[in-house]
Amino acid sequence: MRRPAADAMPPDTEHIYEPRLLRVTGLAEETPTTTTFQLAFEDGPRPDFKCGQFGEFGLYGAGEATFCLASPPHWEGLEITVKEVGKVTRALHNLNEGDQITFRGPYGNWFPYEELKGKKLLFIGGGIGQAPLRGLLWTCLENRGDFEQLDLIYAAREECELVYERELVDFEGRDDMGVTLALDPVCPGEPIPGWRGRTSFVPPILEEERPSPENRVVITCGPPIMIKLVAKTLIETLGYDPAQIWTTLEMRMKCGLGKCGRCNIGSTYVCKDGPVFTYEQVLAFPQEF
Amino acid sequence: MDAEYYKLSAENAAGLFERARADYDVVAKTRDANGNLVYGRPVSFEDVAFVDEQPPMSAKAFALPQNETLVRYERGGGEIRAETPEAPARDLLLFGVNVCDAAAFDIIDRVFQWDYLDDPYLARRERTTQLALACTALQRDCFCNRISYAEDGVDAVAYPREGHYLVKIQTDNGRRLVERYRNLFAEADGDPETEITSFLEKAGTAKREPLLETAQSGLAGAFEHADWEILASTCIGCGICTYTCPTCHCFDIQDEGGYVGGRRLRTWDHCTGRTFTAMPAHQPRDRQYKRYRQRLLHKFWYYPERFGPVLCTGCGRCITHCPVKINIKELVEYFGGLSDAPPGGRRHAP
Repeated sequence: MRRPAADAMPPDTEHIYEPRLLRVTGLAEETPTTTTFQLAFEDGPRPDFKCGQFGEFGLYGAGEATFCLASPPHWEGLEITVKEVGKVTRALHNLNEGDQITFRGPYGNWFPYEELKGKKLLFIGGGIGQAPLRGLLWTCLENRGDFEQLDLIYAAREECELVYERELVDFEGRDDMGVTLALDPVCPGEPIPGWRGRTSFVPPILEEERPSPENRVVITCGPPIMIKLVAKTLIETLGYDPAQIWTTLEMRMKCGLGKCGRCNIGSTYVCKDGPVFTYEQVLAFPQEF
Repeated sequence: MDAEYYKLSAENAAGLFERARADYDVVAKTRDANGNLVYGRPVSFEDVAFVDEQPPMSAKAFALPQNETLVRYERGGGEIRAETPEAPARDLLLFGVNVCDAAAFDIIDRVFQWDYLDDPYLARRERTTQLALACTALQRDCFCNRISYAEDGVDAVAYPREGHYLVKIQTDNGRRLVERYRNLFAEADGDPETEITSFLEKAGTAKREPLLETAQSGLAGAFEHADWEILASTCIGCGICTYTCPTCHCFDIQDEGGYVGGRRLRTWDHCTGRTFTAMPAHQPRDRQYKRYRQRLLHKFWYYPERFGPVLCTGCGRCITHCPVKINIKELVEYFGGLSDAPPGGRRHAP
């Protein structure tokens, strides 16, 4: 048993569901329906967090929703990337700079940075699934010497659904990482006019590039179907051990604290035991995911 | 602590109720204006209902209210002001509640105090004392005799005897209750444990094999059993089983109010509802039988695997109140491999 770290709570907090108030200091439109919020802590220091953790963000009157912490710990403040899909996310999209939102967190486990050191890392993101990878990716770039190799495959349905476009351009210009961008093929084999990247789903790219499993770790997040097919290709075609694949799962959550009973897969609480799992763990779950 | 045994005469039980009302917020079974049995706050001993029958709603709301304000907020002058409600001011005595309802608290305490401590729940829980009343007969739908749930976690249990109650004290909290009103209690004579055993035998509430706890390993192998779809598809997802259940504790957090002011509240929620796990692009439990399966497996596999006891006290309310007559006991026996016979009768006609 433990209390949350003292700095994760407001200075005079009464209970674990009492949120802190964060100030919106910047907005970046990623796609027509997706915005990145830059947030500042004004009621005390920012809590320590690690890449892969999440928080409960909300707006009084609209409610709370779960978002991954989408910026690396070494950046100032905190960023989240929000796609407008429902009541809370719509309310968030109506905010302006200077408005306040509620925050509880950081919650959940994180990517095992120390275990990843010395490895070749392959990040595979799909759509908004790039957000949970972003903090780790920037942390790895900041400490590039810790890793033998760094590659990113990032895919989206359409060009307008690629998030962090300005950062992707930056990544493409770097010589210390490999970048492959891909869009879902509308007509298989047909290039999309004006598109600088590839036109393919992710598994065929893996089959073609054949990144060897030797000393490599794959970190992937995206739609469930993409995660499943990527893992299948890596394990069955390329000979990866499921323990070499890390992913972060999305399940509906309310408390984030292992109480509300919503995010379980079997006896695993995704909010407490996850959201970061190896694919070996995922395969051991009751097949509900 | 080792159990302690006392005698409480019928007359002193009335005295206990009256005196406790000065010190506690006393909750007991009583009849409401329409004659329905409820857990309420009777003002006199005559209004307390000493019956085996259970009120339709369990006593869990006294620790986990159906709606509970977490934060009140107000907006004005460009600022947000938020405050949390006061903790409960009085100790609570659950007087003469059913043992199955009292036992539920010790079971769900485990989820509310593992890792992060759930302050609002525990604030109420820490101020709660249970003096449960043992049933004289098993009711139609209940099956506490098939679950060796932690009766140990109940502070005190009163067994009705001829002209008095035999009171078994099982926790420090229960001992404090006796010490507070010590002159009302007499030392038990004879061999109280034997007396209780024969009471349970006569009532039909003594434990009977096979206990449903033993279904866990069978259930763990039955996740993909083809009959889930047949047997659990009758569920209409109304959630009454979870609302009446003393151990169902899953909740939602919602805001009520508007831009200017309102509250953030915790409300009961139910896993059998279609929106429980629905996400914008993904619904892991996309069929009704999967949602019912979640409820059953949470109770008899996931929860005991994680926390020890099964998430059930055998009160049988979910069987009594189910509009489509789903019988959880029969389903646990069937999928858990305790019984070869498929759950029978029209109750489970697909």
